[in-house]
Amino acid sequence: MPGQIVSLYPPERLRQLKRKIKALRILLWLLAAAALTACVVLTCCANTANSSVMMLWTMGISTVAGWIVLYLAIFGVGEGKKELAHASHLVEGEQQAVTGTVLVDPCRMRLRKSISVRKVFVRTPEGEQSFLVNAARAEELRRAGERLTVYVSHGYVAAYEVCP
Amino acid sequence: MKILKNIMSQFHTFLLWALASVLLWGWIYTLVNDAPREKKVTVFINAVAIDDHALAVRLEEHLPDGIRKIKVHDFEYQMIGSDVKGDIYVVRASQLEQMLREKPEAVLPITVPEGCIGYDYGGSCYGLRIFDAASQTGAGAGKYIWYAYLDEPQKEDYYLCFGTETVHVLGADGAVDNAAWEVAMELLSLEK
Repeated sequence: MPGQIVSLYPPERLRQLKRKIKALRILLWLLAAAALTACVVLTCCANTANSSVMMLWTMGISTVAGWIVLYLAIFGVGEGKKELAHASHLVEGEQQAVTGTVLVDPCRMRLRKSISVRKVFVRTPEGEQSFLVNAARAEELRRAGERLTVYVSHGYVAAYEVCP
Repeated sequence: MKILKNIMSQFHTFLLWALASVLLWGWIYTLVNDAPREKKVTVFINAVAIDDHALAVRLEEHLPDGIRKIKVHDFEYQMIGSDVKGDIYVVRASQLEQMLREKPEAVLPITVPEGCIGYDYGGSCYGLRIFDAASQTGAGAGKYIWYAYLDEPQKEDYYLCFGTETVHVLGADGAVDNAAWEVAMELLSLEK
């Protein structure tokens, strides 16, 4: 809506992200505990007659459950935490308004130990400036239109306003 | 597609986890499936072939008191540098003779029980016959132990004897019980 500042990180979204991270954490701990319990039970039930089968089952459960836990930890909790840290950093930082024609680069790049980003070019009468935007929020910014005022914090776009 | 891409980006982590998991549980099962020397009877068999797993399971059906485990190994296991000390050995007559000739202190002299045929050497008995070459019959033959090749009859008898380092035959140094003797009797009673 023209004249309305739209934050890319509204408080509700940050709360949702926190809830998602917490839920994923609980899920992966439950899964790890269940897998470990199953492995311990199988090991305790092993005897000379069934030890090979039990060992294969234990290794299988441990490996597959470990993969799922790792996946959730890296791409669920880990990515969520990075995004939350990034968002909190931007929300708390001082914002600078830049008005111009906005172009969002289609290529995404991953910042080391941080989130994936896309470049944002803002063409102003003074020249062209380049910033970054969270790749997960880039489409929202692109769909908002070309003529925008972007609010930049620490070099990242944190909010935008559609120019009338 | 995204999941696959994510997995590929951390492939080394997933691979490392799989390796660690296999090694860790393999090690734990080795520990769990073993017992201290005083709690297990170890049998070494030098035959054409053995089903060590099935034989151990069969012998464990009648575990002697105080014994948790019966381990059955191919004799070559002993020959490749293992420091496992055998309680019971099943060997060919010629091999037993060679053992007695070269290292007589390695084999425990025994008293032959009624109904068994012993192996005499130097006036003492050292082994109990487990396979009779004349009739080609032996304890557990064809099910747990293969004494001869299928196309060639075995020309030698096989004998069961006890290592002097056993702690499971009363009369041996440091013996704690007579479990090896009980296992030997069970072994000799396997269907022929």
